[in-house]
Amino acid sequence: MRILVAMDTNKYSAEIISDVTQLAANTWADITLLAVQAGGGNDQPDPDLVKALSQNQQNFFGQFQAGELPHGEADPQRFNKVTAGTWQTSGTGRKEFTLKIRTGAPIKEILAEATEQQCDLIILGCSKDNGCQWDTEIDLPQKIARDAGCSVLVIKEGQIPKKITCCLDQNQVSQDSLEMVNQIVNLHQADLKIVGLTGPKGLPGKGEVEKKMQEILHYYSARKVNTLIKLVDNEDLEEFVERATREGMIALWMGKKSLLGKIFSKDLVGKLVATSNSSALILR
Amino acid sequence: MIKTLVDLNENLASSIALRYASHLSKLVELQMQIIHVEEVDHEQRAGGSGWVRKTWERGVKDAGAAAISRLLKTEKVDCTFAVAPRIGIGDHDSEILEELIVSGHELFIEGIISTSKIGDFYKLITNKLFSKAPCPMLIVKNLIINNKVTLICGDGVDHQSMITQFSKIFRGAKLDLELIYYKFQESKELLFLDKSEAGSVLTEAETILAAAGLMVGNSTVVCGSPEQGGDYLGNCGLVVSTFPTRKGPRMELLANSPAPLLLCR
Repeated sequence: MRILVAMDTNKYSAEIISDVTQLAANTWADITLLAVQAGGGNDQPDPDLVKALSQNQQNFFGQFQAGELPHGEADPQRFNKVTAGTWQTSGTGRKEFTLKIRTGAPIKEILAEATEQQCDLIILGCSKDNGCQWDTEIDLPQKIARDAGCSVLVIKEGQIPKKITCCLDQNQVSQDSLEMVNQIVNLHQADLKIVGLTGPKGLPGKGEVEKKMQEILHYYSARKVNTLIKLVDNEDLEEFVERATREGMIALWMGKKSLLGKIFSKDLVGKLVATSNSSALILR
Repeated sequence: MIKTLVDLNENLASSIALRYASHLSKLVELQMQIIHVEEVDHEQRAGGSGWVRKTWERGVKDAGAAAISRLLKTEKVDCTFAVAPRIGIGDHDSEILEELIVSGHELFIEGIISTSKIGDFYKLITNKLFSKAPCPMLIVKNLIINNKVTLICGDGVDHQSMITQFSKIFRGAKLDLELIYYKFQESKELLFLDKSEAGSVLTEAETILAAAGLMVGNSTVVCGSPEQGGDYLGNCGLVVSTFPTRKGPRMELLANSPAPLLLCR
């Protein structure tokens, strides 16, 4: 598993480090902390970003005793130029740990990095002012959630979800995404609700979705996760999601065959991230 | 031993019901009988009463028995069932109702996945089976495994009758009992009031339960919307009430609760 953590110099970015550390420790994922600096002919990494990444790395490793993590610390004094406008420094360990700075438009650079690295998950924080904002580019979290080819976890500043609602309408659910949800549930000691989306003919997929829900229920029961099951009619989905986001985090499994992809058009995914009172997880 | 009929199919709802029945059998002594009904429409049904029909019936029953056998093998539950599953053919509700009456079952268990539509729940509890069943009906909406049991009074509940039926099943069980009197109120969050706000209802209910050897840990009046109340009940291993006789706050509360629900007459 490969996780890309998109960061800037703000408090909401620093606050997600404890969640990232727990996820990294539990999943042994390769981690990249990425910051993006504005273009303008700079041939050096922005010192403020270097300082922020260094501080976040310190917080990352500070939560564990030496040797407890499969990652090794990177040296923030030794950022190597990879290509024009891109620098990185990596630690040595069983798993990769990299601090990276790219130059350009933040959304474009974050999405490009996720694609190049074939990331499984992008994590980013955001302020809860006016929904969900980034300092440099206000609607960055929404656009990353909307356009990324992999899963995206947007963590809202100061919000700890007590309930996680996962919506499912197709049977393409990866093991990684199940585990991701499991980790987030454990991280926050939250309750989990699996919601099957039904149409006029019940659950789609000739019993396949129901079978998948059964498998998911068994998967989480075996891990002692309190899991509730509910069926929601497609017509009631938006209202249901609105209520669920008031109570906790919402996760959408957006598979290729997913109706969610149609119901939640790309803009609606962005809207969900923006309007949700809590964090949001888009599973792809 | 409580004679219990467990309705099973090869699906998610039954998987949950089966696991819950296994949990319940650790709390109280149950003599469980599985029933499965193969619903066939008129066109599928073989006519007559001779060899052709008997062969057809045998085939349908064998398919039903195989489905239940697969479910039991998949779930690997830690409980025993009396004799072989009873496989019926025909109308689901009529077959089960007949079995409940003829065999004198004292409890019925069925798995139902709750939906976002309150009307679905109302339709369920007013269908032929639920409206005519002679025993308490346990609807397992989710697999919530703990010993917390919440009895709901108020809004038309005959608490004397409810507690009599409940204590007949759960006498001697180690439960974490809670009594709530539910009142509808639009508010930002659920309010908990002193039990005196329910008049003498909760005190009376406590006395009846104590006489049956069941001690109540918490007794309170709960005010809020059915959605808020439903969320509150989400951590209960069992919610107990009587059949709501009309669409009202208690019916909506029970519909919104994700917890397993025991409905008494």
